[in-house]
Amino acid sequence: MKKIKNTIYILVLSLVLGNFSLTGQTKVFTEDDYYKIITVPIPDDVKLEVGGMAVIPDGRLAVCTRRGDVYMINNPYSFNGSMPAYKKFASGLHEPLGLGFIDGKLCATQRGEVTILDDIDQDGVADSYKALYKFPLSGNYHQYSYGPLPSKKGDYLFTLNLDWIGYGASQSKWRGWMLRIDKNGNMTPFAMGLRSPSGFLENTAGDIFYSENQGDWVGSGRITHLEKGDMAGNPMSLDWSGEQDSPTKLKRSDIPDTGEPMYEVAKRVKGIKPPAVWFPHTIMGISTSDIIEDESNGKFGPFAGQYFVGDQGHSKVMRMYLEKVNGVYQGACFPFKEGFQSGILRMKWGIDNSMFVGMTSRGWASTGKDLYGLQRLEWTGKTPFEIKSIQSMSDGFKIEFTQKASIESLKDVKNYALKSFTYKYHHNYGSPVINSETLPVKAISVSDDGLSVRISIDNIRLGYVHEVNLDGIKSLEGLDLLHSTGYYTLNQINTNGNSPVDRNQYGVKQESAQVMDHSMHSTIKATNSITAKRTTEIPADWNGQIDQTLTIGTKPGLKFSVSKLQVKAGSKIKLVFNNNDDMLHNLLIVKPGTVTKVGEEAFKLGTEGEAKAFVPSLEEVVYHTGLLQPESSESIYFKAPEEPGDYTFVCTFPGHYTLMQGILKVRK
Amino acid sequence: MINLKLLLASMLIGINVFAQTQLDFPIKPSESSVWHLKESKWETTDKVDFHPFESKKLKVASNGSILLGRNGAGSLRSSLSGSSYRVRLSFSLDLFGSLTIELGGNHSFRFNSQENGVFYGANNVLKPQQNVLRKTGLWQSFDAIVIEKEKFFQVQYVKLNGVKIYDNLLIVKEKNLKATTLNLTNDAGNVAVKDIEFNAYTLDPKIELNELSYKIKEAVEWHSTQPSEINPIEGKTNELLLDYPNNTYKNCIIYTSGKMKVKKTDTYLFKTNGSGRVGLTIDNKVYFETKDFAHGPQGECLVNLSEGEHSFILLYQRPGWWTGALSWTVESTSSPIQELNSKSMVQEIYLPGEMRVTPINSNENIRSFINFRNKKLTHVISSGSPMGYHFCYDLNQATPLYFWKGKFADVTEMWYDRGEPQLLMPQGLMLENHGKFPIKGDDKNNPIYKGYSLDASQVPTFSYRYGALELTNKISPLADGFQYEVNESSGAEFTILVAEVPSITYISKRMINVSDRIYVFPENTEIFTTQDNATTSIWAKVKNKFSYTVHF
Repeated sequence: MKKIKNTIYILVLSLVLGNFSLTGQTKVFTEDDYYKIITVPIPDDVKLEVGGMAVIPDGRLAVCTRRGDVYMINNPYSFNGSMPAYKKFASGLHEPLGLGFIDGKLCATQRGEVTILDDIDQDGVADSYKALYKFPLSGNYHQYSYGPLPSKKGDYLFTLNLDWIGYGASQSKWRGWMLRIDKNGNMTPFAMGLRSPSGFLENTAGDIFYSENQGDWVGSGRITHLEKGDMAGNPMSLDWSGEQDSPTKLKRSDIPDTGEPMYEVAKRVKGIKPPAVWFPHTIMGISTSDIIEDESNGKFGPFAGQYFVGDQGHSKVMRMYLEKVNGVYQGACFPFKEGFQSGILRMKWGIDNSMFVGMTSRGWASTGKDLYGLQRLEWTGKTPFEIKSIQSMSDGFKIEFTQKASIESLKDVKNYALKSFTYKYHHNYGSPVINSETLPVKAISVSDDGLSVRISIDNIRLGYVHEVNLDGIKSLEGLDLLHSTGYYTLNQINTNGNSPVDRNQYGVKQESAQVMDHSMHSTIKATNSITAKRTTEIPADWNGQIDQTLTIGTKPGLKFSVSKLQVKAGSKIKLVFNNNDDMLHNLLIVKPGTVTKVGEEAFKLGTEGEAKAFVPSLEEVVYHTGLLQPESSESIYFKAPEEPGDYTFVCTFPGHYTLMQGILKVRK
Repeated sequence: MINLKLLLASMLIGINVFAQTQLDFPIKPSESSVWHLKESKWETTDKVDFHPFESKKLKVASNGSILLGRNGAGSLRSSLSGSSYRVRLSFSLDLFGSLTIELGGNHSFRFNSQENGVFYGANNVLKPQQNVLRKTGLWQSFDAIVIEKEKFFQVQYVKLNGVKIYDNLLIVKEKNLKATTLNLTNDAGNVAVKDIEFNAYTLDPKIELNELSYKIKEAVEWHSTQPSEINPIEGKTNELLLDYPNNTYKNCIIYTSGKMKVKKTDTYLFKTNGSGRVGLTIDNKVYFETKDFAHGPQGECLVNLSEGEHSFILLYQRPGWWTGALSWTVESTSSPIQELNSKSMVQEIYLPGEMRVTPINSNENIRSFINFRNKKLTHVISSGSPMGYHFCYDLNQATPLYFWKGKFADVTEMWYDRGEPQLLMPQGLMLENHGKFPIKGDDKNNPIYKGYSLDASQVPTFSYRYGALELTNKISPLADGFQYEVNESSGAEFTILVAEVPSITYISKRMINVSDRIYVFPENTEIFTTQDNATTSIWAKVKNKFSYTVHF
């Protein structure tokens, strides 16, 4: 687990830190001090690959699984120290990825049907599987269906994944759409442009949001506010815009594939909806999943009214602050809690204000090593020192904290590092970070109570992610921020009720140079530059002679197709890397015993990683491929190392290296 | 531009996951003179109709080609012998009939109402992997390949009715082992045996590939299977080429050509299996060329080849990002399967594990995709019973797609990892149904599926609306098949399609044998048939309630 930077060195014998009392010792505060993960035990014979969850008012938790079962879990909270009890309520459903509790009955969303489950004879097992609505299917494996989400309008929301046929496609009706379905099974198409919309919610204000995973036409994970007729990005769903009920007239051909930022394209093409919040890929997570709003009024900690977003691949929960400026949603995302046991797909509030986290990693893989799991996240009652919110201001941002910050640290310009960047909007899978620019802080205005600060900057850019790093800010008691970075997506500049910070009074001078890169104009191929460690043409001096050809493919679940290969030292090798998967991969050959170092360094590349194909500049990296798009291939040519040993071939795309490895044995 | 090209390729090149293999050699029955009839109580006849439910006296017409053992006629020896061989035959049992097929060396397989292919060895008794013995009165097929090894006989497989009931059964050679001859024993009741084929194998390779060379042509476009003639790459090779030697982004077609040295004039069955698409040309005749890219079985063909040299060209093409995998085998009536290429990665790619569902105490119902007549159906439920009789049902068309007996379902594709094809694979002896919405009516009307309910045994009853009709449909397992019931609540009359089959034989007025199953209709059911080319359709006129039972 990534170490959370929150080390304080206490040099006094007795110091009261909020709720903490420490005595003359060095204490490292981590996420666990504030939010505790509690594992809900699962019987051995229950394969709880969580697809959906519903909290029953009587305290039970209903869980549907990807294998098609529905379990009722009695006392999932282990109240009074007793164990949860599982009872299979229903079975045989087709990979249900959503579960609701509607009018006293469970409602499961299968791939091809919304099904009401009823226990007519009251024996605790469903005996009626009533079809509420049927989704047409092509038979493609990627046609996942999600819902129901109760809406304040009295109907229910559902979303449908696109097919995957080497790229996203909508091979049957309404794939890539959000639909509204009422209790009588009447369906109204609502919004489109979705790719893999596994999480969505309607907030207390009645506004609808969905989460999107990085993919084709999706540069990075994101949360988008959807209103009727919105097109959220992936144009394949527009294949159905000619249908009678369609709320849009947009066609696929209306969507330019230029690689311009989505915000810019949306200015020209009415109907395209840029996201409210971008979740920078590999930094915040790699696959956003469920979204829930904190409606606990402070019983889950200091983030009432904010949102929590799951991440499947990184097995963590992120936090999101939203604000509405000029009627447009925007906001910031923050790290929150990591270390869950498997890939997070579902989150629900329990009746005790703890958060149920339902997980599965089969075929998708996750940093949490378990195949599936069910855990609860409880607030310990202690308030972490965190960035509570980042808000748009006319000349920059206002930043709020959960505890009083040291005025001195807030006034120190060295404690601020800001930059902005965005992503390409194009048919490719994902995007490198583009148009990155550092943003010197021009003025700092600190609130008297130390709970907030205004920072004034130049060149705030609409449609861009603004990274706000406050490393160095300390609480009044000397604590570091638990997480010091937030990423604010700016769609509107808030000029309402705030005037710019007086630079004459609060002006500061920040030394860092403003750098503009032009990677916006680069292509994936260019960012994967050819180097001595990556030769894609057979060297001329080989005279066409290859001693050995190695072919390595991929398998679902972050695996290479082979785990061991052997070559002779110094031999001329052609390595064919086939990325058969539906996500990005690279392949590095690294020196024996160095894979962890290389993997961690690749992760640290952060927003620059994609442009560098997640290949760190280390001598331990012997050879490598570029970063390969799904279902693409690359051959590299190299001479096998002269030094015999067990070299590792590894994918260093963030989150992959711990699983996606093999051994290249070099022998004399 | 690479990704754009791949995009186009994916868009325009068909991906087919449904290719299936079925070809086999036509049966050439052995001469009846090989059977020592005079030393036995067995007879011959030209027709046998054992009643499926009753023990009735047989009418026997002499001098037919069917061997008949009556009332426990005992042993019937043959002069069919060999140490490596394939044997195929068909047999039928009456209600109390018991047949033992001896493969020599005191090793035999017994079939009767209690023993569905039990193996009796010199020192052991084994039960078959599953029960796929058909109903009394129906013809059953038996197929086994035995290969002699140094220290044991390898029964490569025993198939009953096309389903493997033994896989790689090893029989250790004993001292004084009797010569392997095929014998039959009628242990009890009445049995009939026909179409007996015994092919002794010789094990040396029958085909050698020589003078291999390759030619690699780039396809005219990224999405195309059409080769360009511009700058092909040519060379010699020692084995089939699966990878392109240079830039793998390109869409290339590999032609491996050479000489095929055939050591014996015979009929040869060539099979290919792998990732991509494959074509085979022998002596300038194209025998197959698959059009779509697929994982799994590719083309196959039966070819009569004379002793001597023949030319061949094997075409192989795969999307550049797929891993090359190709298995090419040949077998003949006188030789077992021989691998023609030495490197096959097929096994590694296609063995993800085995995950099965077995009903124990009540029915197991699983919704999934199902492959039916080379089409992936998407709204299907399979219902398996502890009684060993299972069916899958198309919820879109309100009709059973398959009935089967034996093992229930392999769900590996669904529950292991993710990705295509996500199919539930029925196991056991499959019977295919017509797969159509069964009620005759206005084609514009689609059935509206409303859901299903489960009884105490978890057997589903499906509900539909079709026009003015309000229907329920239940398929309940029996000890030897199913009961099919339809109830309609509006009182309207309608016509329902029961079966579409090549031919039917009336056992009685309400009992119909359709070769692989028997339909039994209750009294007062109005059934009729229609004929359309080679298809006979069985219909029923229905008001309120309709049912039949099907036995297999």
